[in-house]
Amino acid sequence: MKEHTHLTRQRLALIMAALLLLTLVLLTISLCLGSTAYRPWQLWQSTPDAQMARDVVLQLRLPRSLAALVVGGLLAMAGLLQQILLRNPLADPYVLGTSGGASVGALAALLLGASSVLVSLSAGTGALASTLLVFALARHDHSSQQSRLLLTGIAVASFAGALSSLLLSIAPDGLLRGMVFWMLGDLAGAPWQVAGLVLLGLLILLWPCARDLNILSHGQQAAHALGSQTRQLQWLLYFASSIATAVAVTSAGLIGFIGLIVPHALRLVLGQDIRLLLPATVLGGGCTLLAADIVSRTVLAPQQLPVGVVTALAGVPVFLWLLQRRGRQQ
Amino acid sequence: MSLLATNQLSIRQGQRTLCHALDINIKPGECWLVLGENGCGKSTLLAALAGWHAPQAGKINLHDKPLPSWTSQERAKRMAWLTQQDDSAFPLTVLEKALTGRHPHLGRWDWESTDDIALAQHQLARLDLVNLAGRDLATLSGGERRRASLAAVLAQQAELLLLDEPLSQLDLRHQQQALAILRDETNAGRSLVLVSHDPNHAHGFASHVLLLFGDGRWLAGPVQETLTEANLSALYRHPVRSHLVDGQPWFLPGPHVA
Repeated sequence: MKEHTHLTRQRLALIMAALLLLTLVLLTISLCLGSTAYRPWQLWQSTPDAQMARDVVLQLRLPRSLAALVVGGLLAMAGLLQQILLRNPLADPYVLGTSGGASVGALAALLLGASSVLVSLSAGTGALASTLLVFALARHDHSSQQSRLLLTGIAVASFAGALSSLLLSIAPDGLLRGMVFWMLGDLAGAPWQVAGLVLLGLLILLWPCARDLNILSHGQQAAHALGSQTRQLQWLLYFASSIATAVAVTSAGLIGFIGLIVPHALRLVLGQDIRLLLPATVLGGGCTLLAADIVSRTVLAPQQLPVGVVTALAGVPVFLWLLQRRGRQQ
Repeated sequence: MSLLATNQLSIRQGQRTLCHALDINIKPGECWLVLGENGCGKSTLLAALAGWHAPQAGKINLHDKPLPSWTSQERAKRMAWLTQQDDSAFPLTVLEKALTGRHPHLGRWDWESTDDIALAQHQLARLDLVNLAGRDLATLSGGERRRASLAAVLAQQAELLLLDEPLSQLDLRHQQQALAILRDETNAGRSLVLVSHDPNHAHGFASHVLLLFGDGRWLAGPVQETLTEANLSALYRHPVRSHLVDGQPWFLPGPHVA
């Protein structure tokens, strides 16, 4: 096999086509599997059974699958952006407390009886505030392992968790149910249209900067010397990752490890070029969450598992294995 | 004609004034060797010249135009900066590192062309790195990583190279190889500002030296006049002796005087 030394346009197109194909295959599986399993061709028949099957697929399974794709894409992208921003491959919105900050913001708004728009805005503010806090507290950590950064993130995440519990415990009974339901999150009924638009907007905004992001991940001074506007790029990464996290959390609740595992796994397989990693991470994150959702719906059917439990149960061992394998190669 | 000029430039780091009212004028084809003790502000001066560290007072002009008024891309086409720390947080192949030097020459939608790749490969070849092109930087030794960074800076094809200890961690042969490459670059008309700990690196190609004393005082001038036993002994606060080898002065530390 020829050694891969740098990314070409052909390689980018080929890999994206393969990932799109994988997405379509997973989407088809997701539409066919569930409490009743269908075969794809059954949906095109004109029997009453087929009519009912079409209703199930189009009104229940399709929105849910699209929500999984979009939310997974947002979370994986947020992870990738935070990894570039903090120059640490272990950064993730769940680990660093961004998701936690978003949920504190949303719960506080729910407690005050705010409308759904205000809840989303408040979640966004919470995500921005927690990222800023971690960034401000740990930005001068120049150690090679950047352990202070991760510890600060974990502390902020725990603090956000405690605040969420506090808000839940002082909430009146009338609001409590809605708040708990919001926190657990659910892909069924998640507003995928808005989240999808946000995801697309962020991709269009960020992809043209991908080569700048490449050199930014090699260090701020190096990026400056090569003519990148490092300060503006950092603010862009900061806002984009926080918004992506906030939208993912308000759409589907707290789901962990997608932002950590997907970019990390793709880096090992595809290399480091953000021009490929950014779109690949979005599709890869979508596929991963969709696969997790299929498992959560089918493994103990008719009972459904929270999808966040599935991502953590499956993702953490995979992550550990990848880390182990990389350690041996070096 | 001046490529990079400072006018009454003062640089502070925290409470310390590292360099006070510096006036230097770097012309095309000149090579400036910057010498001084550890922590005397050599790297900070380089960072200021690169437009990264904001000076406390004074001006820096690139091509007679104030440095901050250049767009960052246009500045990067003219001025390259090799920093001391250059470890990447993520794996990166040697060729990818060399290709980063082409970044300022590419438009937003451009992709590295075959010419860019050939240029990067050529710089790798000059530095003995061709066989390592596909290797991850993290698996290389410190000296090999340093040479890969130098290849990236050379691929940038800038008129002015600010080099912060490019020869540190290099073995004897590769140091001589890198010095020969830098000499070729100055002969081709490029200017260098070279931070080093070895006054003998001035040999054969440095035209000027800048001595930084760490307390704001500085001394700059042509090599023959400025690079003397007396100046170096004062700079390093340790006796430095000059020895003639083949008619060239070599500077070696003298015995310690209590």
